[in-house]
Amino acid sequence: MASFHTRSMPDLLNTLKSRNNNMNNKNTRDNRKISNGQTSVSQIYNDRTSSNSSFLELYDNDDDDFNYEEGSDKNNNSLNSFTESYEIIENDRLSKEDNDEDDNKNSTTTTTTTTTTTNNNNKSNNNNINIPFSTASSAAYMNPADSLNSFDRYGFKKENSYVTESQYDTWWKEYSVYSLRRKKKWEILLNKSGISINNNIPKRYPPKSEKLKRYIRKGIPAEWRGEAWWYFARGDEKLNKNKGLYDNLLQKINSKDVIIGDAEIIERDLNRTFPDNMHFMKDTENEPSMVSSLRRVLYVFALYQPEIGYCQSMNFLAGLLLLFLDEERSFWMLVIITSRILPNVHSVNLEGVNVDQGVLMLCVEEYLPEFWFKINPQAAALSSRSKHLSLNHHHINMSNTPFSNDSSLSKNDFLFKLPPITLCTASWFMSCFIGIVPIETTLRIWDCLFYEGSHVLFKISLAIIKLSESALQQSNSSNNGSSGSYSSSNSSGNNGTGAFTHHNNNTNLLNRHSLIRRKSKLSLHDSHSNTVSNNSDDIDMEIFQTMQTFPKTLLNPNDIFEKIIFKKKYDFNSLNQEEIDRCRKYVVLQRTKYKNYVELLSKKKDRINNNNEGFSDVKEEEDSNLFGDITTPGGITKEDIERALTSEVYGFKRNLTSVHWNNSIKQKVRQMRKRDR
Amino acid sequence: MLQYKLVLLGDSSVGKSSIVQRFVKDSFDEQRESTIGAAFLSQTIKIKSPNKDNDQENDEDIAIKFEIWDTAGQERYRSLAPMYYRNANAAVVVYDVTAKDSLNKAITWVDELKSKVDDEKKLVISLVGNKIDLISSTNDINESANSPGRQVDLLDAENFAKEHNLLFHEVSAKTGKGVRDVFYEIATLLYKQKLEDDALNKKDTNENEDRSINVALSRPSTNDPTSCCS
Repeated sequence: MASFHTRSMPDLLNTLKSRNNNMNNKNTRDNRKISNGQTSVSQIYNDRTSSNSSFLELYDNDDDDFNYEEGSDKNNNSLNSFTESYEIIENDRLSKEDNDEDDNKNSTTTTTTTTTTTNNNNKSNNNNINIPFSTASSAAYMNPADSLNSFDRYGFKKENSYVTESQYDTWWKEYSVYSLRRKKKWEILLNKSGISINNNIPKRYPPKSEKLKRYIRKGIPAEWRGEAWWYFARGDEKLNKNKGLYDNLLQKINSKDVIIGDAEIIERDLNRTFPDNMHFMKDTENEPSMVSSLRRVLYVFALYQPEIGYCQSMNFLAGLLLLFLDEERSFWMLVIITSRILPNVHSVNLEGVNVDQGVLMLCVEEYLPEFWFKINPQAAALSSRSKHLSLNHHHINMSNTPFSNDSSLSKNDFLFKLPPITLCTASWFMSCFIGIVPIETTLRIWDCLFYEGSHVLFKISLAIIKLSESALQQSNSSNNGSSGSYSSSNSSGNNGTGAFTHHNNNTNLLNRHSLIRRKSKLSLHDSHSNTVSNNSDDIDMEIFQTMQTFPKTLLNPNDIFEKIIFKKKYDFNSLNQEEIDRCRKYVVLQRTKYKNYVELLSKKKDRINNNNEGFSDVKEEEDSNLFGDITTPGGITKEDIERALTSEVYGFKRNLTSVHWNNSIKQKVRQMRKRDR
Repeated sequence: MLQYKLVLLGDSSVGKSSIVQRFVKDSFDEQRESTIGAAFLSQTIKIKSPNKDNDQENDEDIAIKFEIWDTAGQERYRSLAPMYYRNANAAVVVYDVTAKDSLNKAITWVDELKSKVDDEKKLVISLVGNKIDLISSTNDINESANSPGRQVDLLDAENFAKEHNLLFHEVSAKTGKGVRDVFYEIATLLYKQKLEDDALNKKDTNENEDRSINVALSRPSTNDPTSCCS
């Protein structure tokens, strides 16, 4: 993928200005084309090359990038959005109203101290409210003296297995400056929109716009977060419809009128929620009030939504909410997350988890094919790539599937038999990245989550995978000569308790990456060994470990946002909520079909077993003669099965970013640049 | 180096993650976060070749690498479980000796493993009762208020293990007692399996070897560290 990091902004602007009119005309023309004939967007943009393409490319390295694919939140016509957003870019850029792009430069606003008297605006609650962040400690939230403290501004311990305290302090020194600068910009934005804040926490925000989205992606000021999340998730709507409900339910629970089925499991998790956070830390005598609040929220929730009850991970969701909102509002936010944002994910059968993981895998297949082949060797086997490796995998991996010989189904096999990597990524969704990435990064993701919706979680997941991929390549190139290091480091640690190979820091992580590659090569020559269950599983585990460890090192949210999310060159940034919802529907359908099919298989198997005792080896035969002449008890017809087998493949909407890049385009851009000089 | 996939199963908060942490890092956290989904760790240990009659590698250490999948314990995560134990070589099914119901949960896990895993005979299952630090040496059920005391009888669990051909240990992740043995015993047994397989492949198995395997199954390794490791 091409990039022009050396190009300066004024240069870009000149080029853009000179092409502005011309481009707009073109876009209008193409708009018409689309509405008339439904010609595919990518088609048009593939046919028509230079000017628009170079336009895209020019913006590609814009450090104040954003997704023009989503130009308007409601308008999903790519071309319209394109035009609109383009204009937005122009306005932002050329009028220089918003000096937003200076994020990466030194700013003059850093000397401004923050409000030391953050208001405690009438938190309506009768319960034991303890919102440490937005009230008591807010005065100190950006105090440089924080660096003397071993806890961060939210009360979390700075140090963990992946980040040392000094690493944290070094990062924070810089990031706190960034945070202050962003807050200034927010204040200006709100003032301009006629929302006066007077050092208060804003209660409302301007209407949705690309600009607002960009601001949010760059982070909501920490002490505004609770209110902002509440506002964007439309919490008041929910609360106003259900006034007093929280207190009523709480009363029921307190009077022991009701039995909470999951109470015991909740109790077990109360002390296992943020034990490293000062507000949740177990005191010697008294239970921290935060833990009591957490209990009440989870109890009331279990009572309010019995079909969900309590699901591990909700303790973290509620716990984090409680750090930013009062109890009642935390409860309603939990309701909103589990019903509106992540439906069925926390339900009893966790089907929503499987669906979302299916969607994520479809996205990976579509947008990160290299990684896809790594985690799904079957796909690699089908493709022409990595032939050598795949032979090995193919043999092993497919032996357990009932569809071993059925290539039509194996295309979508992964939607039912999710790849092991999803064991890791499932928790990303269940806990909305709490504990997966460092807290500041988590909070940034939450900012976007409530503004943009659940598709953000997919984008972030893809971004993290993308980042880990490049870490992998880096280590591969830098570790070429050290192929012996792994075995030697293993045998050297023999101190009676065995050599430790626990990898929990960056360096080891990187070594790990080169190992994956080496191992996969090794095992090809060594495949007669029956020591490991199989090689593909082995590689899965290596990737799994990387996926588990790498995100924890993403201390700086901008590593995800500036490097990936704001970059148009990554196609997955064009994903929007509509696409994800469509994709979810598709996966639900496919999984239902599959379930019917499996049920049918087992019924058929029973029949064979009953009719033909002693015929034990049904497994071998079932694929070939299963569909002979069955009339099924469950009313599933042969057609149903066939439909399940020849499942249609999901098609992602192609966006402008799908334009094919090639060298001739690159050259044209360069020529253009020269001309403009 | 031999590599094996090992999966930890059991009710929530019985101490699965703590056992892994003790084994892998030899440390213990009084307060741990609940595991969401799954966590993955690896640990390599060395064992002496367990089969004295075998000429191969008699005096050499055998390096065994465990790829450990630690799972969330709540019941509803069970639907994800097949992904965990697919292709597993060993399973450590954990219960809490101070929580009666956790043994029942452990038993259902054993049943599930036995019924769902393809090669049931080859899967090494170890039943492990954790938190013995919470019970006094007298095994008195009427403990002080601070400690819940023993709720699961040692013999009950042991008998169940015997009946189902499981390895069995009582351990404390907090003090470390017994944790090592769980894994060394599994390693030893897996290694024996491998030798047996190799022999089978050479088509010269004999009954003696079979018997020695059975002995190992019913007689867990001792606490003597020289017996199975360097």
